Amino acid sequence: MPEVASQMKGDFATLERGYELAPFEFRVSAAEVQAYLDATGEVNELWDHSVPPLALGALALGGLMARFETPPGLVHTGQEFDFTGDVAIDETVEVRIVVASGSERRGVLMVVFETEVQTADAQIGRGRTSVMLVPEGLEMELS
Amino acid sequence: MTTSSDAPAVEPVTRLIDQPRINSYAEGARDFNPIHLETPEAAASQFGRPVAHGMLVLALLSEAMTNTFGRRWATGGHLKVRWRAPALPPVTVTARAEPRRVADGIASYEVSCEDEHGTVLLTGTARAPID
Repeated sequence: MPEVASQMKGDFATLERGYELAPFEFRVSAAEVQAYLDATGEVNELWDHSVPPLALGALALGGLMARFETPPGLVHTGQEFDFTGDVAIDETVEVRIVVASGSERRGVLMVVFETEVQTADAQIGRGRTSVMLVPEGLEMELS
Repeated sequence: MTTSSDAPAVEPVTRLIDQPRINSYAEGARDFNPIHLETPEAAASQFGRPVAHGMLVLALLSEAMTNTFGRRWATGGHLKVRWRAPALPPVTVTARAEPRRVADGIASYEVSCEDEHGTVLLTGTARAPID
């Protein structure tokens, strides 16, 4: 599982395009895959030996969020994934995340993160995560 | 480029998302953002209550694609979505993928998740290799 960074957490408001987070690694055990499947309700024997791709995406995202203070008003607005390879249970994956863009409009902060997930052998996925930080007191529609 | 309209059908996936499931998902995905849990932060949010993780809603869509494409989804799938409305538990969510076309061995879909009242929670596109 992604380790929660022990150092001071980052601040969404100060992120700039090109900023690269320190890479982190994690492995997913069979018990952790089962916990994920129990939570989502999915049943599929495909995941007896490998990790569901969206579980990897979720854990990479969890690793990202663990590195920041989660301010009130933070909303996950969009997500893109390319799944390019299998990850076996207990296989180590490395996650690299860079800030692809950051902008502010009328007090609303929008940040896009690009993520690459790879094993020792190959890249197994890419992601693009859009988040929006809405100031307290301001209601925002998602659509 | 070769094209056709016979992308494989994807059966919808429907599931109740309630607070116990959200709590389990927070553990399973290691996402403890307080807006998803029964916390003061969730109560103080614009929704006044917890909101399901967007990735939990999206998981139903990935499950539907896996049911059709199997391992090819894990090794060659593509998803691009935007969340349109919050999923407020308890909510019954249906994930759908409507076939659009096949081009160069890649099947394309328009995807969505809706609640039991027809509120659209997310929309987007998906692609998967058919062989």
